Amino acid sequence: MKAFTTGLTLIALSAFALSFASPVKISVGAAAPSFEIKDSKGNDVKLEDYKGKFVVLEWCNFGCPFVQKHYNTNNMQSLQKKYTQKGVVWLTIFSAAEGNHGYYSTMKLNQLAVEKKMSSKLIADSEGTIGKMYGAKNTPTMFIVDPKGHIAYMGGIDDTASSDPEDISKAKNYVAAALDEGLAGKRVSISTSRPYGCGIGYKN
Amino acid sequence: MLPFVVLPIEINHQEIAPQAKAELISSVSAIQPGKKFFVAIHLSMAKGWHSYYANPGESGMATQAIWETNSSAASVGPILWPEPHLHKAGGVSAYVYEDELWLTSEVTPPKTPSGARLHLAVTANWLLCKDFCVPQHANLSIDLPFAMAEEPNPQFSSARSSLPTAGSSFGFYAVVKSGRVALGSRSLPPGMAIDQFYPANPKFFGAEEHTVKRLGKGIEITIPLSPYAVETPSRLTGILSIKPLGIRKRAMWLDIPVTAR
Repeated sequence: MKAFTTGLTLIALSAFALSFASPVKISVGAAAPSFEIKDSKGNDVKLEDYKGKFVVLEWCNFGCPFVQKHYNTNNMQSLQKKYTQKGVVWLTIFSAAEGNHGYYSTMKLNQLAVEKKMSSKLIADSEGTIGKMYGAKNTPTMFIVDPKGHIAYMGGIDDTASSDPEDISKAKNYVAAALDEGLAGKRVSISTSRPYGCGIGYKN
Repeated sequence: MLPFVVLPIEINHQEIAPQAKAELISSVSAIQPGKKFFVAIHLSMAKGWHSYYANPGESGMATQAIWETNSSAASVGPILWPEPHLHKAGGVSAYVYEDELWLTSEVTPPKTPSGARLHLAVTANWLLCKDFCVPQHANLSIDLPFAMAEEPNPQFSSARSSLPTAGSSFGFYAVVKSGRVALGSRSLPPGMAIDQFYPANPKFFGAEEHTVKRLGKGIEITIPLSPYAVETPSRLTGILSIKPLGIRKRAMWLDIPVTAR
């Protein structure tokens, strides 16, 4: 039951993806919807294969000033590096449709990953399937899936909704805090926050 | 070394090329001491671009105004938001303004001025978007003389007409129940139409679709809480777009307590 869509393979693993018209309730503690797709290098990425590990889902668009705030200061790359070294799987997802702002070909993504020194797997979700499944509306929106496959965190990267790089040092980074707690076997104390950023240019 | 002196210089308009132009405009050209007046940031946005309401919705950023004056006895109130509109693009909903926008605040001048003029300066930060976004800012200021009696500024009429009316009239109530807030009134004046409600607090609301139910003479609007809300609101604030019978549509600012059902 493979469905080929513009160079990427997406397999609906469960009823979640099939019942696209009525999306499942995305909430902290609920099962994270499964997906299978290829990363920008052509490797299979299957959420279920990461059972036993924390998985970060980061929605991205390098043209968005709120994303630039975290990339131009190396904040996002430092987080990717720090936590992937601790065994966390980090997926950076681009859900904008081809022709829209925030869309990149896989070739361009591979080039940008090197330029920006990223340590995550980059995913072109130009059909918007994963983005819509998770209800991601803007960039950067962040999710953390726990080792059992449940949503442990959903929301913004930090508590300061601005595009000013100077705010990063003053902000409380919710993703780092949640990963630190989760990796230490503790309960995530702040598991939801309002995501802030630029609207994702989904396919209409 | 020369002492560094900041002189109040009036810069009441700024071109933010090429997408927006900002200017500062006051409801008076001379202030009567102690008598409140309005000051507005006027944004002119190029076609296709938009800026955001107090609650931007599912994307964007609310415009922010940081005021300073040369008098510690003067104060400038919060933005009195005009009615926004719903903007939908590829499944992302936002509350926005396009074209001409006046973000008005009320100024309380000192009762006993220490100088001849009041200097008002603002740093305005806004996000301008179409299919992509540009953060912008302007530093604007205005100098207004004190006079025995207030002198109104006729050029303020556009800003004044975009001000919402205040008041929780028409018996509106709000109740919270399992992830939703119901905003209702049991007896609306005959023929009064309710267009839309724009919740103002992004902590609790995105721009989720509302359902409107007519109940006899009354109405109930059900507003889902944002999936990212971590608690329920104790007050419901926002703009209600109403159209009383025979009168043109207007925006009403609502600020009412929320009770649990």
